[in-house]
Amino acid sequence: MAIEVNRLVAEVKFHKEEAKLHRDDGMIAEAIDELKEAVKLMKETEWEGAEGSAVSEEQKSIAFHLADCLGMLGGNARRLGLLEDALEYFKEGSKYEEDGRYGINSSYNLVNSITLPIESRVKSANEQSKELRRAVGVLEDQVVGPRRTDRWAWADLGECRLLLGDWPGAADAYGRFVELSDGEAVRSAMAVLGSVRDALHDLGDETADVVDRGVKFLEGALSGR
Amino acid sequence: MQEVESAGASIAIILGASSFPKTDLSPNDAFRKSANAFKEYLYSNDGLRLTDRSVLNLFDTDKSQSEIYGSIVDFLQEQHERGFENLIFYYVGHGDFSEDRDYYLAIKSTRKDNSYFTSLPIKALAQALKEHARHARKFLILDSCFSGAAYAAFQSVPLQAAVQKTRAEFAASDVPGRGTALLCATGPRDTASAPPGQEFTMFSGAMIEVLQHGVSAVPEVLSLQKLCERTWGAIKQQYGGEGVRPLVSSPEQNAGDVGALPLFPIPAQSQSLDESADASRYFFDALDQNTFADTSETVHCVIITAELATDIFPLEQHVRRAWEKYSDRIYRSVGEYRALHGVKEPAGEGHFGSITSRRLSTLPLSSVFKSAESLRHAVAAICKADVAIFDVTDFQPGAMLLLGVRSVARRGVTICTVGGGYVMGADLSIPFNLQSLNLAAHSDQQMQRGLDPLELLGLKISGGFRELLELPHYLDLPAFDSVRSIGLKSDAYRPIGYREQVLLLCPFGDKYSFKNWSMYHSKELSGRLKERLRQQPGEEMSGPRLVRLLDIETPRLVAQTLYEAIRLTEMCVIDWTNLRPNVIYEMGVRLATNPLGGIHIVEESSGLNVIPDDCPQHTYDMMKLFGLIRYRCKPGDIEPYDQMIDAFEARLDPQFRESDYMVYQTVGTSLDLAVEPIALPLVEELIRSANSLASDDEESIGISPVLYHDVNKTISQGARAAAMERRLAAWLYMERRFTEAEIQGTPILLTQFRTLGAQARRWLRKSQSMADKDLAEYIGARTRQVGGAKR
Repeated sequence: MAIEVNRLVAEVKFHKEEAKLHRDDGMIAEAIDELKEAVKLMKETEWEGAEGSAVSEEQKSIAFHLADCLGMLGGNARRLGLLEDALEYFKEGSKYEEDGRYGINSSYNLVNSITLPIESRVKSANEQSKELRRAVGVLEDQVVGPRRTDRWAWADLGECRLLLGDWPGAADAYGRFVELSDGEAVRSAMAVLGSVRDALHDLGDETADVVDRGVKFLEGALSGR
Repeated sequence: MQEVESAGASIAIILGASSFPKTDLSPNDAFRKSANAFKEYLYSNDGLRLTDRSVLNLFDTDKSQSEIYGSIVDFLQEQHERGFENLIFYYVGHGDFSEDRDYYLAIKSTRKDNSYFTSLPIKALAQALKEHARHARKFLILDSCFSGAAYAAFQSVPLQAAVQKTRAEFAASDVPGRGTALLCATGPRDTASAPPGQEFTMFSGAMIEVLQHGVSAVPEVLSLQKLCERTWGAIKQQYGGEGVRPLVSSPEQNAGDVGALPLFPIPAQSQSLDESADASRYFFDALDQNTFADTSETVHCVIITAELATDIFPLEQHVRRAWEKYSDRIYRSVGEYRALHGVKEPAGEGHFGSITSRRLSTLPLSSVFKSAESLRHAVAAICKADVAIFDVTDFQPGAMLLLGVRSVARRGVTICTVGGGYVMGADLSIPFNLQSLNLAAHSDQQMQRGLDPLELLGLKISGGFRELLELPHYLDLPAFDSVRSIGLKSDAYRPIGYREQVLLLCPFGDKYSFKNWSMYHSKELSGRLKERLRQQPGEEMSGPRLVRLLDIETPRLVAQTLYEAIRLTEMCVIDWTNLRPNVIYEMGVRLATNPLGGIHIVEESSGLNVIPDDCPQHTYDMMKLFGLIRYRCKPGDIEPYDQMIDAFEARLDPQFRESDYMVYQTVGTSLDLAVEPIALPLVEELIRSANSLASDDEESIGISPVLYHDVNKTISQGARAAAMERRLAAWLYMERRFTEAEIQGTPILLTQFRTLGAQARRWLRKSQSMADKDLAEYIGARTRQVGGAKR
């Protein structure tokens, strides 16, 4: 089935913009509806080829938007406290992020699928350490390559290092993140870290202190502007 | 094209020798067999059906030079009384040069100690034919080979110089209304060959194979040109890369091109000799206007083929294969590209800009310049084609001219590819203007050693349309933007009259610069112009500047300056001397951008144009079509400069409509504005501009497209603000420019309207300004009203 990629992408972008508007207004359920519509449009096209087969530019484009929408769905679901749904979205999204054929330079779904169980107070940082180390490995490759100037890559790397108790490494990564970011991005990262810190604290996990240093680092960066 | 009515109107002379006992030249029985086989063709029922009465066979005669000359004259006189229309002269043997570089054909009685005066000089032959066959069409076939090592020093020069000498002799002698055509066994750098163990010489063997056995399923009557092409095809088949390329030329074409007249009948053959002939049905004729009639769901690809290509596997077959493999991808890319430029979409469900078929057509350089009409069709073809693939092997003049036209006419997609042994990454001397081209390779060697040409071409075609779609400033040839974006003020487009400036497009070599330019053009043309213009009453003047590219004083890029000057300068002199590819390319740009065209000139020396010996036949067609003014670098020879000025002033007449004007007019009227409009739809332009500053996915991607965003936050903040202003502008334009019905009735407009509305609102709501917040509310309300948004 031939795919009218441009038209499809245009529709998807519209739904994403609407979702962001709803999110900004605190209307998270409506945001989720828009994103679900976008995902439905993409999945209806049966765009995916056979596993392992070569992919076209059109398939790469759809994979990017699908991963992005799933990530946004996960984030919004998290806002509503629907943590199981959020985890499902992040896991599905990370499948596309980690499939090298699509060339998606993002780690949002990957990292969130690891940190959400911590935020959910289901797992400790130590229990997620293997996954965290894997994510750090992926990110360290990315930030010396195509994501060298991607602020979110540095933020994700900083978060993962914090959760592994590596403060110096995390400070390094967050330092670069701050250099590349505006206030809004820093506030966004701070909110995520704060939530993770609180969860670790509730779990009695000592890593909470390390994460707290990260939060304070970002606060300092904001106030220093 | 005039058909030759009957073989009875033809006579023939056969000359040559299989041995040269009084010289060091090697005997070769292949010469004799070749001559005999050709004679057999002349006599055969499937051939020219000549008889002993109409054939003078002097092969292996013991006669002396003067006796042979006398025999030829007697024969022609006798035939003249009987009446004949066509004379075929066939020679096989050895040819050489005198000390004065006069070419001669060796005969059996040739003596080593006095070879020129004991052989048949080409001058003498021309004289005989001039006097006694003046009113006939003359077809000379020369299968002259050089004896291996002894003549190795002459291999790169002699034969082509021989051809040029022969051309010159015959060019001067023919009465208008008839003409002469030459078919020679070799090109400029090759020697004719009689391979060991072969029955015939390489050339004659292949030619006789074609003449005796045919090349296609139907009988044909071949012109000398076609005979040359078929012969070359047969040589390639048998000898592959070792094959020596034959050459055809028509030194005099007063009543049309004799070389294009069908004369040589050949029988039908069940199996095609030439691999490409069988597949010719896959290709349309680009010179046929009907080829481009259907454009709606068809993508057109024109393949500009070089003359006498040496590769066994022709370019057009690579293109066909590429298309077959990548058609889906190409159709999709072309469809999306076309849809971008149309606000309207096809009715009903389905793909926008859907492409369902392709049309591949070939445009052989050997055909383009035969007449003004064929040139017009060729120009129209390269303007209309969605894809143009140029064989730029050897950067032949015709290819350069058409490339120059294409570079003005279309932003894309154009692919230049090189054959003739070139492989990707190898050293190649590329003309100055085309240094930045991304060349492909289609040689036989590329097939063997590197990425297959079909892959190279297929990926370039599909990738080209994708990039044309995504990159606003896509270019695959220089000139397109430079000739259009000259300045912002109205006087930037003011033509520069010849009282002010004259532009010379010319070579830049030291010798030319010192002699032709410094000693002659810069002084004589300026001086004569001043003299001419001073004749206007009451006029004081300092005289026009005569400028070359190097003389234009500006710090701007050479390319930019050059193409501006080419477009705006009214009087442009184009010097064909040495046939520099970049000059001919610039000529193409000139003809496509200025209706006054160019004044075409060429240096003459010793009666010959100063052009390379090995230029292809179509060069001569071009020279005839554009009417070159010949000048000499000789003190006091100023008449050509007056002719140049006369020629230019004639063009100022509004009725001027010759070849140069015709090219400009054809380009202007052939442009497919539906596919490449003058400008993108404004909304699309604004969105593209916005995305180049800050992608609409930047929040997710985390990377700004702007340079230095990672070290200077002011830059990235400014870019984001500028991007949002453009998105806002796009929404406001849509809201004012289109009716609600138009937006609602066009899905792509509706999506754009709603998306831009959402983007603009998000941005405006972050502002501290109440006016911005009010505007955000207004946008929200209007977007809901028009677009039916949920909030």
